Amino acid sequence: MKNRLKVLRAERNWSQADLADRLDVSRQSVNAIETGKYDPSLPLAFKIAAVFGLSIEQIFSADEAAQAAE
Amino acid sequence: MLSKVLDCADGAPPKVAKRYRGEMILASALYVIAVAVSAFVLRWFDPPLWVAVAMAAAALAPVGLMLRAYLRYLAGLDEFQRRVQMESLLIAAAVVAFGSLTYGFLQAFAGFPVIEDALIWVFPAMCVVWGFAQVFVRRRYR
Repeated sequence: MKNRLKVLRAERNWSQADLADRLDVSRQSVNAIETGKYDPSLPLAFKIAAVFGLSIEQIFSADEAAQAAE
Repeated sequence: MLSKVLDCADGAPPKVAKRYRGEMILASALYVIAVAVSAFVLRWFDPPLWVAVAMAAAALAPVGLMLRAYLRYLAGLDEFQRRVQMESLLIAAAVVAFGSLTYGFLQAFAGFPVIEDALIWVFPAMCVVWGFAQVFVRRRYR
């Protein structure tokens, strides 16, 4: 799954630690999600969307391989 | 790297990590005392069977406290950190199971020496492999 977390965070001048505080998770978790190595659960994805004031679809999208399979 | 293996509360919320370290230090101290007292009694007093069983149980009680501390620690982590813990535990279980089964076959089929009190080493072996596995699992997610 791809995401725009890093861009959205940069637009707001937030560090990974700032975002982690807002989401009540560890900085390592934010880093793993940003790099696409960990896909968050649905509740955490909703929380991320709420923090940025966007919908989940505006932040996360299926990667090319997943889209090709559909 | 060794510090990362030993500091298994790395990355956890400070409150959770502090509580975990405190509970583990207390449980470890109790374990050392319980094992020392049990060994002393069993060696010098030749107690009846029920006392020997009680001594074994006394040494196990602090291990139960360690497991409780770990479960409380696990409950305080976020979902990604729990994933890291689960993967590390799975690796530890697989490595120790594979290793013990391998030696079991070597013992049964190839006459390798019987290790006295071998079962005692299963839990410590799991803890050690779990510690190293955490470092590698965390690195994979970086």
